[in-house]
Amino acid sequence: MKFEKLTKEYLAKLGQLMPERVRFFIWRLDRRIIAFSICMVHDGTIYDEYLGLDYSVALDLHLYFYTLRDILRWAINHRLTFYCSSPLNYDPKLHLGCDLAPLDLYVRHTQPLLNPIFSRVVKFLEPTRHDSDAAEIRQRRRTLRMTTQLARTSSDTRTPNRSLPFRAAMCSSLSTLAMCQWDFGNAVFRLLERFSILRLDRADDEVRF
Amino acid sequence: MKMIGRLHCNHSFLPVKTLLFPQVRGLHDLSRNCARTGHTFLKSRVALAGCLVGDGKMGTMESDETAAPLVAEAVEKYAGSIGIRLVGFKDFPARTRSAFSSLYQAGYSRVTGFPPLILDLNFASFEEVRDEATKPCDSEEFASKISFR
Repeated sequence: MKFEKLTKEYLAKLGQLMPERVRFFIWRLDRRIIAFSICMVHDGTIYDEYLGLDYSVALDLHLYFYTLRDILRWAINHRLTFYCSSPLNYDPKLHLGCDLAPLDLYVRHTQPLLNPIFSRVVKFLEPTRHDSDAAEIRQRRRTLRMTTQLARTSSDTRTPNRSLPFRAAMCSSLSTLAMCQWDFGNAVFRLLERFSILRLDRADDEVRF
Repeated sequence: MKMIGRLHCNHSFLPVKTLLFPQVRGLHDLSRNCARTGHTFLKSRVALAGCLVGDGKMGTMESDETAAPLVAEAVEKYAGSIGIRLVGFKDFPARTRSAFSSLYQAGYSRVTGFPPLILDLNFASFEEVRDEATKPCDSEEFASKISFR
């Protein structure tokens, strides 16, 4: 993963050029800035563009989730209709009920002789095939589809069709499970975490991840 | 871009020098090694047209069906004039695919990009979002939600 560096000049210019669109969110701990987010608001949608975290405290405090919570809360309070997040880091966002909005790129080589070769090669090299996060989601999707088909064909009524494991199936690594420990001030997510781990084990057995 | 004296679209093209297929680890490493010796293997300039924020806006007065071939023709001319061999349309939502069918006929290939995520904020409070997120989910419905295509 490569991080971009946003300069002071960039941020200052952003605020000057489009004050009606840009929103800066800052989280502090004992007056020290520990998280920062840039969002754009347009046509009833909030675009969550960039996030900066102080990683000396970010993991312990589950800062990522607090930023997400506060931005969503702000957007709901301001009667915005959609929250649009930037690509990647899919797992926690899918847990929160976000939907993927597939995007297409169209490419062509301007040399007529080379383009047929290029078009064949480019299919195998498309970015989502080689990103580990995306590849994992693809694999989960395949498995879910397979499980659904098995459930349809099987006469075994015990096969779960509407249950939490399908959400929990997205939890595949320890880091993801740690993210489930997000505490909003009540026990719902703690309960979910316990439930997810327990049911995930069962899902593992059932669908052979 | 003007056609018969009438402004059809005001579209910006972006020439970028980029590493081709940056996600493919082996190729990325190979390219980096080549760069150390001064070669630019697997790096290419691409003339990009389209929607840099991914919300499917062509910036045209006409419908996307009409505008797509016109923009394609313009970006190819622009690319040719500055010696760029690769042209692309970047980040158009999958729902606009039918509008870009003319690009297939022109020899373009469709590649899946990294999708953003969208949440409908039809909730009274954040607590409702959280409650909705913890509800059980139908497996088929969930499988369709995590499709990249």
